Amino acid sequence: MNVKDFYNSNLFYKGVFVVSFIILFFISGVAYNHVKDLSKSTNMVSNTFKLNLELEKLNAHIIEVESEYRAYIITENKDFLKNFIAAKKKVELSFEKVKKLNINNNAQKNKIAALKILIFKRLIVLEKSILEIELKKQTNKESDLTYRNSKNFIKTMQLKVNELILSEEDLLKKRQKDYTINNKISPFFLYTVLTITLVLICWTYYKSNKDFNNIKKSNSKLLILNQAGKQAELLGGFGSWTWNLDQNKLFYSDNLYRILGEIPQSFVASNEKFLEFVHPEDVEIVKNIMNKIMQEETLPYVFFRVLTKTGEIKNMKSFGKLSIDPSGEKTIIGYTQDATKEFNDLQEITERNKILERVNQELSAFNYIASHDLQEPLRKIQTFISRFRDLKNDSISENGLLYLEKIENSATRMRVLIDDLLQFSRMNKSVKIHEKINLNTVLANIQDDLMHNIEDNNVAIIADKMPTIAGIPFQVNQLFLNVIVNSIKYRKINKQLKINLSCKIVDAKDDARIVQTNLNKFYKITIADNGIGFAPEYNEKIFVLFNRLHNKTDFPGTGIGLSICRKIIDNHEGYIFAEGIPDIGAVFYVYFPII
Amino acid sequence: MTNSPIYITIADDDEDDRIFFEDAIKELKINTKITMVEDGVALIENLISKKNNLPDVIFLDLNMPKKSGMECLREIKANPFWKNIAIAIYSTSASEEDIEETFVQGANIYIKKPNDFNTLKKMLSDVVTINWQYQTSNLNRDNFLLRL
Repeated sequence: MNVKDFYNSNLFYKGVFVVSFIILFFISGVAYNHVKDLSKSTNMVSNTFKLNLELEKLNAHIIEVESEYRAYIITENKDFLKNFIAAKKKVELSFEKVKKLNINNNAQKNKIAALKILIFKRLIVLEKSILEIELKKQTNKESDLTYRNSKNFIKTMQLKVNELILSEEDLLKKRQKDYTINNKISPFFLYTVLTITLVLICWTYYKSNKDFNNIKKSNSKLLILNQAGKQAELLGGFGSWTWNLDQNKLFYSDNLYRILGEIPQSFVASNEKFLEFVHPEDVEIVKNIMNKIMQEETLPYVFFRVLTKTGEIKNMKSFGKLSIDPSGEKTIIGYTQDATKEFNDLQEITERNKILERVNQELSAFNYIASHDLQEPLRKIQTFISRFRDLKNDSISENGLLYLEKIENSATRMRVLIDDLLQFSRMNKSVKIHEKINLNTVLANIQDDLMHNIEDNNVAIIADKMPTIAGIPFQVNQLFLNVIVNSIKYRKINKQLKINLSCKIVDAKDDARIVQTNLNKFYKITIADNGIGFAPEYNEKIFVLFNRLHNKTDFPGTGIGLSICRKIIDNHEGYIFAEGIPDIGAVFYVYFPII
Repeated sequence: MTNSPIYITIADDDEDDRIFFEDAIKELKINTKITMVEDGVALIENLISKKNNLPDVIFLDLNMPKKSGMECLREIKANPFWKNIAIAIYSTSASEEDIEETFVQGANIYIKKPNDFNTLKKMLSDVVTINWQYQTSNLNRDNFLLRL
């Protein structure tokens, strides 16, 4: 797994979440501690204030006690004594309250205790003094001393109380200082960590949102593909299926149900159910196939028939391939096609092929008859004529000799016809092997073969440099030979015949005559002569079998020569056209594909 | 011409052709001994009966009843005693297949039956006087078919 994969992986997101969670947990822990600290110190502060307040009150109560005492001594009025007792009660209550404040500091505790002893001692002194006054035991001198001590006592007590208040304030300051030092870093630290966590959470939110959008997008794409797949199935007449080999669960596409002649998803897909549709004769085949799939985990092309509820027999073609998903589950994904049409077409083609083969055989037989059986009697006629001629001619009349000549001419013509026909039928045979043919050599050979003809008739053949084409040598040779012989045959008697051959490369799309071809480029060979030419309306007709433009006496021939040319060029996927102008000449265009 | 006669066998089911052949040989005045058979079976029987007096050259028609010329050719070339006899295929047709097949089977020359008696005579005089030893060693597809 490389860095990018890891970055996009599930594991990475999980990691980020766990880290964020831990940080949040840590932060809440820290925050809890802080709050706890805060409440503790608040408690302390309030305690300090309460203590101070109580001490101030205590101070006031003591002063009250002292003043009530003094008033009683001076006046001996019992009301003051009552007040004294009430004030004394207040002092005791104050101590009760201080006790409740729960002072933790030991030094303070000791100080309070000392203060308490001091106060209670004084109270005892005062009570004793009052008691003695009532009993008249105490002398004025004695009470005078107690009274005078009062000032000192209050001073001492106030000093002690102040001391306590001060030390309590010191303690408070010290605590506050500690607290501040402790918490000076934490707000910044907390804020930073919280910000990072927030960023992390925002980022993961953004990422997951993006992923979610991507999933949405690919989901809609999948939906479209699914729709396209369904349409393709309808159009192509096939259904798809999946077979999870690990869970042995099957799924059939809607169209597969339709092919089986059922409403889509009208039953739960299973092999047992499928077998119900298979043609009884093919059930064993399909069962074997299913076993084979489980063993070999693949399905090459298989053919079988199904029988729908309506009694229709369909020829099916099935094919499947193993697919393993990331979690390692094995599923065969397959296609089953209704190949009935294909099957029927194939049968028809086979049937037609048989007919064609038979026709071909008949044609071959005809060829044999033409080449052998027809030639044999003809050859004998000719041989007998030649023997007859060699006889002493005395016994034959002049008319008889004329008739003999006519018979001989007819026999010769018949031979030419049979030979030409044979040649024409030989061009039927499609030889698939195309050899490289240098047309310059072909033309040289033809000129060689026609040497006497060319010399006798004073023919000038002028040829440009010709290309090398792919073709069947003897056919290409025959093609050019026939065209040139044709030119020589239809030359003007009183003028030298000139045959010009030229060649250029043409694009199929630029030449209006080139139709119905998937080939791009052609050699266009032009063969032009200055012979007698022909009317333009015969441009096409001259290529039709047995079609002749002249009578036999002027120009002997069978009308097969140019038909052979057309056939040869058809065999080569080329074209041949002719253009004639009477008394000016004829031009032949021969197109050979460039392969 | 040599003093010893040239032994020729012609196998052809067509009576007219046999007559033409005989007449032409007669007119050529070559010292020859001709044996004529009507079909392939007769040809093989004749060769067996001749034992050591085998012909120098056999003119073999391809299209014959009972046993075709092609079958005869195969049998003759497969037989160690007969395989050196020169075989001239003598047929009405000259289809590519026949020419190819007979060449492969080891025939020495392929003659298309001429349609003129004088051409026939010329052909016979050429073929009968060929030095077969020389012809065989130079045999190839181009000169296999006799051009007249």
